[in-house]
Amino acid sequence: MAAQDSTQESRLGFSLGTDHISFEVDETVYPLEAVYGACYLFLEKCFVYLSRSATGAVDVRLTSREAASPAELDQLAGAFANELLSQVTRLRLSQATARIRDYYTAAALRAAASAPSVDDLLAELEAEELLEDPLEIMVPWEEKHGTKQDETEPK
Amino acid sequence: MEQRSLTLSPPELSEDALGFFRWGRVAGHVLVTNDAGDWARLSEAEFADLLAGRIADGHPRFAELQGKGFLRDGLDLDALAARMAQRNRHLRRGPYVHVVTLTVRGNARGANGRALDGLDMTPETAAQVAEFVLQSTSPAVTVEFQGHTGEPLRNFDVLRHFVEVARTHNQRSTGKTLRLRVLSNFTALTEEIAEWLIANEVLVTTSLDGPAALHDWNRTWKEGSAHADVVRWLDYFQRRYAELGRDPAQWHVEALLTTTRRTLDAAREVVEEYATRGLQTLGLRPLDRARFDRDTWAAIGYTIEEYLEFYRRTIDHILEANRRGIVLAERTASIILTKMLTSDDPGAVDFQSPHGAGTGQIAYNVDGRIFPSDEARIVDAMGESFFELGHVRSLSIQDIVRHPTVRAIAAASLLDAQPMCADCWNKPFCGFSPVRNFITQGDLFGQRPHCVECKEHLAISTRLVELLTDDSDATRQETLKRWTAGSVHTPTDGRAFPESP
Amino acid sequence: MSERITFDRSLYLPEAVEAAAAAYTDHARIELTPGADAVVAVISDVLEHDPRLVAHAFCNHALHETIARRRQAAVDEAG
Repeated sequence: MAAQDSTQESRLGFSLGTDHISFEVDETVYPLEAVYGACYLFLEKCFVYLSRSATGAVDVRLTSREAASPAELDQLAGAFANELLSQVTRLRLSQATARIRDYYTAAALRAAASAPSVDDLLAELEAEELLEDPLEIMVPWEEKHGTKQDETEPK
Repeated sequence: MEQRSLTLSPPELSEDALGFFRWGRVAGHVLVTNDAGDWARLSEAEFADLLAGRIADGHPRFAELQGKGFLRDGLDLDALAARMAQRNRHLRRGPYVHVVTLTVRGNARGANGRALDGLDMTPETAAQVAEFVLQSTSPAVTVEFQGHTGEPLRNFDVLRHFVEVARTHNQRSTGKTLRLRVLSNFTALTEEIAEWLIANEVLVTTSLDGPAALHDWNRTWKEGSAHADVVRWLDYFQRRYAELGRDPAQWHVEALLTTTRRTLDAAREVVEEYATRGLQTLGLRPLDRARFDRDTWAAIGYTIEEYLEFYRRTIDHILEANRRGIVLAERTASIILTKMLTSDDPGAVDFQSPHGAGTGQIAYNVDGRIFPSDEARIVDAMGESFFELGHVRSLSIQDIVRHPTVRAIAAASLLDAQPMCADCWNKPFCGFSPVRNFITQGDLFGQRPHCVECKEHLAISTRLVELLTDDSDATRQETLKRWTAGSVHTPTDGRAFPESP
Repeated sequence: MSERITFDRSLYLPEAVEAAAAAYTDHARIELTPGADAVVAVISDVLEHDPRLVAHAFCNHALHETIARRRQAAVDEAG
């Protein structure tokens, strides 16, 4: 993604129609994922249509669902532009922290998967009780009594 | 067309100085949240500092934001992972809420108006379901008995048989914590049945829609007992529990509210009614438009905006009642507060990502057919069998959890995979039901901006953040903290929002 | 009377446009013609609603399907 001088202002032009506004969005400044993110949030308020008039640019047309005055369409344009900016910030942060998220998500899933259930704990307990073996049933006879190795173990 | 332009000032961003977080604007501030459910409220200037990497040692918010994992400096990924694991431990628990529909007797009608009279769960099916429930890997299970829009106690003999089979099987082999609850409108309740329920430790939930006029008006379109009868039985159970010396924190009747258009104008009266009856939780939930025909909706329905305005007023009344010493919590708020203020999962499947249909909750129809949730069972009752998983006699719990339908619901409800949800500050505290999307929008995913559930959850979370961050009222903040599950008895041993009986 | 809408393949997934068309069968007849660069949808025989409204809503649905599918694919790939 193109590096951006964060203090640099930019201009975003748009066309104002009777019931819609249209932006030509430069994808080098506003990646497609950011455009999608912003458009998605406007699906309830508007009808959204994307097209291309030039390579590397996305034409975004927002048509108001209700009748709208020029001032209201202007406001809509401002809201969409702000959301575009926000989406770019989200995208950059998401990309920069992808490995961090992968790490802690995987670690969380491992921790959740390895956390013993009550059944697991009971099974462990049963196994421990058997291993305690106070009567030394599990101990080979020859080990217990120190006899020759070729003698058979008690069953 | 007129050509115009906007001047945009992108925020200064030093992404390598930051952990991952989401943000949104709430009440004039910026709320940042992360995947572990940590959150902080920042001024616009502080948020700009955060993004620009200017929150370093010496900054007034440094210690807090570092401790919560918002900064790259000192980021403890293992601690973050541990908090996430704690929040998601329900994923490994196994189905813990089992909704058993015992009958469709009563005045129940299908969506097409056809009477569904005469259909009861048989003792044989009940025994199969009881043993099936105990296959769950969850160490504790809750069974909720209900009727399909009606009264489960009309099939009391089968309920009794179920309880006996379940308890016997559990004592002999599974050894789980078994909780039982009946959702009854009291139309078939007798003293004999009441005493049996008490003796056999079956908790009771009923419908109470507010003071008498409001409650009884709802009975014109919905089956149930008149207000006087509900109150009589409420008092009966409360008295008997007290006589037996049972802990009121656990032993009390719960009530469910059906919010109609008339309820919207009676917020204070509803709260006072619940307080007067000694009820400890009030569950506010909007009606689901898709469940009603046009004429009924015209009489009882409302917009989500109207509902949310009602919600705000009702929460204020509940908090005011708490100030007077009344113990009363709002159920949805309790669920979200538990997620905001603790690392616990409150066990409410509708607020889980992925949704707990089929993995946390299972529903059983009168005929033994199994569904991932009671909502899914209702879809079937409306004529669409899309969500049916199979029959109790031919499936195991493992079959349920691995069923393609259950997996599809899980995939459709994983918030990280949904546009809008993935970027939303409310994501750690939220969840939605793909089955509800199917009902309202025709597909599991739904267009998020149109989801009523999304609007509801976001509005409630927003209101709770406003209340939690308003330092002017310490008493109110303490009340909200008491509402987290486990502090005040907010029933997390079952569904967050069962259908009102 | 019919509406013709071009969905650029670099902006809309063809399968998303198909899914949207399938979702709208109760509202209109939608014929899709896939091409190298775009899928062209022709909407006709609109039932009950304003044809322009249906066309707009159909575009929204196609965009929703595209965005949702792309996000799901990204999650599956990361998973």
